[in-house]
Amino acid sequence: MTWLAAVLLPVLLLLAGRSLLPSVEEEGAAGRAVSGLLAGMVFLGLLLTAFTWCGIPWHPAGLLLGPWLAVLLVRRLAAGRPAGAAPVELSRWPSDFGWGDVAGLAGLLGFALLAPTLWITTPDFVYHWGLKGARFFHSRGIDFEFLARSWSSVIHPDYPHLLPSLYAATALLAGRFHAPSLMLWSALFLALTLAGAREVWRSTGVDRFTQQAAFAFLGLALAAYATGYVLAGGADLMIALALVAALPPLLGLVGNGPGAGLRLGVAAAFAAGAKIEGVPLAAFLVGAFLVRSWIRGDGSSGWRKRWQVAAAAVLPPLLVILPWLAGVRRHGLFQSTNSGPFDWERARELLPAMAETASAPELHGLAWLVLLLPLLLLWPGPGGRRVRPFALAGTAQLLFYLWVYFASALPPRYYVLSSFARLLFHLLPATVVAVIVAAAGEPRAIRSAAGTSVETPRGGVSGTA
Amino acid sequence: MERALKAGPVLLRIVLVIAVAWAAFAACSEIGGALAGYDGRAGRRLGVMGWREGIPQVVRFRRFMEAARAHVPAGSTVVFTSPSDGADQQFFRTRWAAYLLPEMDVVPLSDPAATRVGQFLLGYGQQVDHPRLELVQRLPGGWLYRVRPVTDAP
Repeated sequence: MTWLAAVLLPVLLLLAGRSLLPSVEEEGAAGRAVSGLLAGMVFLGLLLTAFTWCGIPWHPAGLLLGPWLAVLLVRRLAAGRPAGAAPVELSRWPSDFGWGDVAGLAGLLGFALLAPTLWITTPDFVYHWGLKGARFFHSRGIDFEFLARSWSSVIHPDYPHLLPSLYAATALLAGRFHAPSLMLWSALFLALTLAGAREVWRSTGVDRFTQQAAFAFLGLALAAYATGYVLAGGADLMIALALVAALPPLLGLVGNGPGAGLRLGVAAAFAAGAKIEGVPLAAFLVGAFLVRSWIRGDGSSGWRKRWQVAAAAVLPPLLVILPWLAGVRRHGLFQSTNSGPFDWERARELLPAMAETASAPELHGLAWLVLLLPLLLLWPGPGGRRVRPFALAGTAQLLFYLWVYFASALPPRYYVLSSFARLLFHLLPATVVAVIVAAAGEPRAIRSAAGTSVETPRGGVSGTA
Repeated sequence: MERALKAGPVLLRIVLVIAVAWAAFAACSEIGGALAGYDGRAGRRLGVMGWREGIPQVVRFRRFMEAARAHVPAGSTVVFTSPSDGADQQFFRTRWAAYLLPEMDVVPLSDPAATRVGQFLLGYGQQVDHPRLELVQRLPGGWLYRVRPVTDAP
């Protein structure tokens, strides 16, 4: 039952998430899976938070029925317009399945088979992610009383609760907390990251050889990084996934309407629900998207539509951030070690420690690829212009990480060695995807789910297929 | 310029082929290393900071915690202590104890609130002698005590 619950819950969330999101013509099957599952997970997190605030104990029936009641409500509200997914070609696999897919999926499979052994589980699963998940399962809710106790200050009580809530929800369905089966969530996050990357390359008309080689590289590189740096069970895979999921709306691949805004908003909300550093990331993603959609819009949309797009992007992260912030403030959970005075002197210890971390043998130099991210801001030509909104958001997040190290009360070297490799992982997959798009994407192509050309970012027509 | 544009895709392909080989080596190395580590887990001895499921220290620690669970009601506040045998060893053992007893509040003995709120005391590999402690059970790997309320102390 434990394994069945770990498979059943994501399937339910995918179905609920797909029903909650309005369809977008340009989105392919992989993109639908990514945006649908993220929407489902964000919605479940909101539902469980609402139960906690209302004093309703979490129950398997609530998990199973809650999302469907919401789907019915949304459909009722949206009566008169098509609410379900428009028919699209479900997949072009296995007909276009190539050598790169095999290699990339082999990496994913290696990670997915190792994760349930708990051998590559992050120590943070024991120290806080898993502990909170098990505690929420036993308490049948977000246990603020437990988080607020003086001895809980070492378990990041101020972190958002989406991952522990997913663990607790799975345990509720299974009837017990079973760590090996919970590792399937990590495999799922990695799989969705790869699916999202493939979708972006397909949509931007990257040629087949480059797509295959890039997919192989990304699958193998992420598997190596996540295995070598033992990332299973933690929320760092979620932040990386959120950034990749935000690429289609940021790159203008899912149109410029409220559907694109909602996809961006869901990705931002997912980031904000995952970790505390996901909160500024959500702000950067929304900001970059709004700037892009207001500057590069097709010009025909009126103010009303623009506000709809903005609301669709802003509301999901706000729905996640506001209750989290309220809980943190009400129970006094924010940790004083999170911030300190900005001190340039710390650079003397920080920079060597950062270089040492990025050069760690288990990372095989892959972490250095994140240096390509700020370079994307300067990338010339239409490819560079296309990925610039992502480069803006990603670089802002990278600068935020640097600022945190400079303005922390924690010892610089210890702080970097214990966290920097995980922070770099957040940015790695989306950076690789964007570099490939900038270098090999068809400058103005946006391919539909069926592989035909749809439109250019400014409303022209590209002849690619 | 035209030459550069034509050379671009070829260069990108060469870079990608090298990158795939690089990532394949990295993945084989890490996944192979993890498999070898997992297979040899029974013979591993790691500091508490590096503990992983399946190594003998964790197997012993789990056995101790499971034995304790049988005598301590859920919802209890349990003070935990273990030998001070290295930097942060005690701290990380307490974190493992909290993870393995999530239905209880596990408080390190060093916490100022421990003597006030503790109902039980778990000593892993460490016997504790104090007038407020009453031995409940000798467990495999340690001792479980009941903490008498402050008013009961002589």
